[in-house]
Amino acid sequence: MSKTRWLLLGALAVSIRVTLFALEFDKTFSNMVEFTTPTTSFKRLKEALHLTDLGMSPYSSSVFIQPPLTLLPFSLPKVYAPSQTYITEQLWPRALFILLDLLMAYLLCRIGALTYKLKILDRIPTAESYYKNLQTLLPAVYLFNPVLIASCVSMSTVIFNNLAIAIMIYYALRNNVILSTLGLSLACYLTVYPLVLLIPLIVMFHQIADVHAGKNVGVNKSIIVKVILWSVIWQGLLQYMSFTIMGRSWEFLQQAYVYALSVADLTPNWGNFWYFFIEVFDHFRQFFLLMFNIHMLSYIAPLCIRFRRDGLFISVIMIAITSLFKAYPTFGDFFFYITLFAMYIPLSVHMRYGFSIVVLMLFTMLVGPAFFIAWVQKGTGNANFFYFVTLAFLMSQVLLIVEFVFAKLKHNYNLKKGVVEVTKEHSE
Amino acid sequence: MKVVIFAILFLAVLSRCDRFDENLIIQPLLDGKLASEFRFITTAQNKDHFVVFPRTLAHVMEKFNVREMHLSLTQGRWRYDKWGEPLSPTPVGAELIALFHNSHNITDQWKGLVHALSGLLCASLNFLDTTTQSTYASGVVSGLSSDPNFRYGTLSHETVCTENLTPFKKLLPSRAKCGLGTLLSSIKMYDSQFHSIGVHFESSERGYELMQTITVVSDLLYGRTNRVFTDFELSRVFDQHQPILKCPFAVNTSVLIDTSRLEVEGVNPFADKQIGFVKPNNIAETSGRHEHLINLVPGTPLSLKFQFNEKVNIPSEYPAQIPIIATRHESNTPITAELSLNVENTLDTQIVVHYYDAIPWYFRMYWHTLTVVGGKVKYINRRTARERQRPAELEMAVLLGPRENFTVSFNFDKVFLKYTEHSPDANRGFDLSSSVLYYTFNTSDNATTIPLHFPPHRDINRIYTDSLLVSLPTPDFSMPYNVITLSSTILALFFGSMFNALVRRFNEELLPKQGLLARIFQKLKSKKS
Amino acid sequence: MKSLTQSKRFWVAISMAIFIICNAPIWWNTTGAYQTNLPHEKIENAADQYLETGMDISTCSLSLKIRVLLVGFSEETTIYGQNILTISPEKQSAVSNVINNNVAIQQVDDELNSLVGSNARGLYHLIVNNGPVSRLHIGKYRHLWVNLPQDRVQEAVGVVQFAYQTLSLNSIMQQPQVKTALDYRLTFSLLNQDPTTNLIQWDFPSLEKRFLNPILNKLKPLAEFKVDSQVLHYGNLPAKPVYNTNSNRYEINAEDMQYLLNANDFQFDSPAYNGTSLQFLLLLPSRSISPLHILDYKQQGPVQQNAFIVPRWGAVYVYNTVKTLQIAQGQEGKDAATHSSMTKSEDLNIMQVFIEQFRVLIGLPSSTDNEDVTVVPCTLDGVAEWEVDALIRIRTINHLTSALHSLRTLSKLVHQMPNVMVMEDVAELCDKSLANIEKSNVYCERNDYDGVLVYAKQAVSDSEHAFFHPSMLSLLYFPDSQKLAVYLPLVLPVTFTVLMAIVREVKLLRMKKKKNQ
Repeated sequence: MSKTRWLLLGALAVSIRVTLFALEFDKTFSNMVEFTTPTTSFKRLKEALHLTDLGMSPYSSSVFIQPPLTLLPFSLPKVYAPSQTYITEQLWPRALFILLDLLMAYLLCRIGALTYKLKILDRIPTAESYYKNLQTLLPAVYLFNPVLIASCVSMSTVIFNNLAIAIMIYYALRNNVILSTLGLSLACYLTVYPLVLLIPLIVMFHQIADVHAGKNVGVNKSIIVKVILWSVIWQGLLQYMSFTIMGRSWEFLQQAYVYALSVADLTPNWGNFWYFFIEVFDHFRQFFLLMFNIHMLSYIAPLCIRFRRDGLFISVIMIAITSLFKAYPTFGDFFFYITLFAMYIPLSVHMRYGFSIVVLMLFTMLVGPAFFIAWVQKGTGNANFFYFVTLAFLMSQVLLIVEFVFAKLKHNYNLKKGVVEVTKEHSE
Repeated sequence: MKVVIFAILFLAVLSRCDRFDENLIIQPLLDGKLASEFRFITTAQNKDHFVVFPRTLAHVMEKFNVREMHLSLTQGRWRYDKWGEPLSPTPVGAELIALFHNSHNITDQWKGLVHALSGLLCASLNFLDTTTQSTYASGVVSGLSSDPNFRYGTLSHETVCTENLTPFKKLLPSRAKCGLGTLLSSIKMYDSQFHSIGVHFESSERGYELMQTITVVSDLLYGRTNRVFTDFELSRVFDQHQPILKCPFAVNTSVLIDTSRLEVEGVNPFADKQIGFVKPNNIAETSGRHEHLINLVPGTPLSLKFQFNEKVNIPSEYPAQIPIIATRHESNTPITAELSLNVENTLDTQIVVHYYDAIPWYFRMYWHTLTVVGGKVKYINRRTARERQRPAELEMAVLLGPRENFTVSFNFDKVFLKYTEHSPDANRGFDLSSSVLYYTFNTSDNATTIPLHFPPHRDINRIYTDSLLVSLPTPDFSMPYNVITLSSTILALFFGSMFNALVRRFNEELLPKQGLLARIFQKLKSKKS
Repeated sequence: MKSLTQSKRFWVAISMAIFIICNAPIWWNTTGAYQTNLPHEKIENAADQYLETGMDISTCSLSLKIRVLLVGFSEETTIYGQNILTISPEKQSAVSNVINNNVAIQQVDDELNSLVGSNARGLYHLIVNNGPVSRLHIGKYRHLWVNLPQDRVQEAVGVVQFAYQTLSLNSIMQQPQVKTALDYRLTFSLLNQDPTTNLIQWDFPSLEKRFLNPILNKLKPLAEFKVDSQVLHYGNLPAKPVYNTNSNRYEINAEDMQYLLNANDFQFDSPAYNGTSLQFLLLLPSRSISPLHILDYKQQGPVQQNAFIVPRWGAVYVYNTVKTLQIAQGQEGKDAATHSSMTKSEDLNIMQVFIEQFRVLIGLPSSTDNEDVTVVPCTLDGVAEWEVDALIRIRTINHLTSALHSLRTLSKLVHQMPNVMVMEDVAELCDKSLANIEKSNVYCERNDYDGVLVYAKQAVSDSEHAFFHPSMLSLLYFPDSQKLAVYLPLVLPVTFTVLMAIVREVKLLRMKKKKNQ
């Protein structure tokens, strides 16, 4: 992508975000449950930083439930410039989030370029120009999506998760085992869910090896061993670093991982879990907790069997599944995988309910916040209104993911049968 | 006045026998009300053989290794602006302060003590041992009480009624059938603006000492519209017309009338006016301009009629009668709320104010939003909350100059509780119990520890702020099965559709012959599209 | 042609099915109640072994042996079928002298003890003295004596039988005794009914030392006793006493006195104490209704000693002090001093009555029961050695029976209710209790009274702790139909889809094979 185009895109994105920060929209957005949850809230991070300043462990109260290394980017400037509180506490975090958004856009641009170069996306002849423009389209979709802009302005730390996954995909496409496993380990370090991406990553490496070799290479044991080994090394390193900065104690494990997985904090969010675990009887609590967390693992095997040669697609689908069934999802999670789905838009000709999905999504996204305020602030509504709206939204996401899988399968079938496909413009 | 009472206490404790003393302190207040405090003091030398001490209470204290215990059940607000300093400061609702002998297993001892006291006084204090319903300090906050055997808990929502007064009366050796106990009429007492019953226990090598107090603020004007003080008669105040005779086994029964509250700078309704009273035929000792002490003699009934020689008007404005005025308020936004406390020094001298607050864990306190404006902060001690285990505790000391004020404010989030953690009346909200404020004129730098002992027998005075009600958003309580079903449905729907998509066959010919129902369904589907 | 194992879809379905099956243990573990294994078999065996079938009472029976001493009879005299102890003629004559010469039975008793006393629990000596027929005397220690002439010496057999019955206290079943427990708290309350007219004080610590400590020390092996006291004021009598001009006293019916102890007026129970308490109330009526006497149920006359026992609770004694009696008889003026303490003789009087009541509550016979026997009263410590032995015998049986019952009931309960959470502690306590029961029975066969009692007490304590263990209170009850409602939305679609997919694949491939053939 040309430099001018980049500069234009970048400047526009930065200016939008800076304007929103200046207009103090970050205060509004950071209080909305759509963008911040207990595991991604910047307010809680500030609280943890304050506690460390006071000499207490950030985990001494039950407020901070993220891993310790997330504190590092925000506490480091204080070490170098302890007196400049305006810069270290106001300016630097905002600048960091904007920079991370730009970095993400850059990674998406490179991912788009690489997928076109490696020709690993679906071969639909009429979509060639679309694939060629992916390197501009993906970052643009990411940077100018209003929901994602709001997510950035709300300073929710979901950007770290998304960035780690983007790093993983990018370096996998570049056939770099070491750095892509770094991305995966970082993602696993932040929340445990990306663990399901280990096997799709291996399949992705096989796919890239196939492309480079030009033919169908079988199961390559050395890739598997390398990936697993490096994942373990990176994870160990990260955990060791956390162990050290927490004063050589493992207490953070309980609060950073177990607490979040066991849904102990029942703040409403757009996920499936919060109301369920408010209302479920204690007798079943443990069972359902385990069920909801483990069932994501069950999709790995079927997907890998059916899409043996398309690791990228499996990864994207698994990312979507984890975002959907996470304990504390945000719009940042949802729209990240929707951005990744942009790579598969040409498949949408096979989708059956595309229009309904989009309409449902828009409707629920607009109505949800209103019902939330009606319940919590005004006291006129009921928790059920908000809950049902989130259910409808999740339904739309369920349909979306299944539709993409269906479309991909239909495409593969058509390929097998030799049917020529056309893009949406030429369809009935 | 206080000196006399404490002299009695001191003597009581020194003498080597079991004593029962009764005191009644009567203080007319500026706005036409009458504050009275009954104090019943019993001591026991022998820890197994009791003459006047209630055996059941002694057993409870012994079983749970209690060294000192203060329990108060209060209803009504003490109007600091109109009435001045309280006779015994207590927060609204129930408050329990306990100091144990040894520190192992204190949680179980506290739990046992709380349950036993609920049984003894018919109060539902058992909520004090769960951390959801009360503020509960473990005393490890340095500066408040450096004693690890210390426990403190309050329940602002606890109501007090005759059900508590009856077992209280049973603890007295006189069973409220002789002496000053006969003045305790449930109806009149609970018809008042403020009433509080207290049980204070102390165990030492000298034996056990128990003080039972009842504080009542009754209305003297009885609905009279002309705001004028005239007189009051003791039996009419308490609505008891039987003769009050001294208990044969009570050592000392006395009534103290203290009019010092009526002499307030700037108001002075009684300046140079003669305050007299119809002398009952008991010995009366005047021990000061404001104080009149009457000792009861066995056999002679007490009848007391107190008369103002001239008509006295009730002031329309009240000057500050206590050194510090504290107000607390809470402001709400969707999920977060802000709590702020404002303390004002009404004197012309410096004063040090110690402030202690315990925020329950279901209000998630953000320490980085804690700001203090005004005054000079001497120290701040913090203890973070743990969900479902302990509350957050804040203690600070601020030096206030003359006529200065300071404001403490912080934000907190409202935690969403599980279905079973809400109380049956969930929509009422949750209580934020009163904060405790101590003030002392000792501005030296080494004043760091403040004990919560009673009665205040040092130069430390205590006031409580109001308790606040914060409403937490409630889930729908009728929905457990629905929610389980719906959430599981989303999961099952995703699973089902995904699985179907993955095992789907696009080739129609290869599909096996379908059953009758399936064929009918297929026909309908094809008709639709 | 693809076989079943080459079909991708088949593998997809199978992998899902395997995943689901692997998760079944998670469901099982997380929704059941944790139950350790109680030693059910051992409990059943112990119950069968140590309980007498049909009567459900422990089979441990400590034996009671009576040895007969013939004193002053001719050499050949013997009593058929009895255990005879022979002593030297000098001793015989000494014994004979003691019995014949002393009139005071206390002295006889003491001297006989020093001569032929038995120190082993369960072994008693019956001294048959040659002389004119007399009643059977039972001493404070472990011997009895009776006078029988030479020609009626064979009647000693009947005497021995009678002695067996008396010494084993078999007739106490109907008495209003308090429940068999391992620790007791005795509370002595002095109630001044109207302190303005009558205010009495007592110095209970010294009373305790003088009167109670001896008997409680003697009874130490049986249980732990704690004593405390209190003084109460202002109690109400349930009915107004009526003045009887004939006997110059106030009278109240026994039926009315039933309602004396109500929770409204008195608070005797302590919320901090879970054990058994014995309450002794000394009621001093107000001067206006003194002297007060209780009439018995037939209203014929005053109740003996003006006191009554409340079964399983304690006793009440309505006491008219000497002073009130004097006032009633006109010996003192009505306005005599109201405050006083009790005199030494009054103390003695009161404590005697209380100790008597205490004995009855513990399960010992009251002193007026036996008409054919002279029992030497225990002036020193209130309870005789043979009485302690009898109590040990009875309590051992009670303890062991109760322990076995508790264990058996617990085992049945856990069998029938799989929802009860049973922790390791409970199983440990059951094991300990069974071990103690066994040891107890071993000592029982050796007839070692003290050993048996120690282990029996331990056994019953452990079994009570196991049965009433607080961890078992949390009952995980969830009706099965509601469990279905909770699991169904998740489980049904999932399993159904997978199953259907597998079935369809198999059908399809079979169809393909058929087509090809």
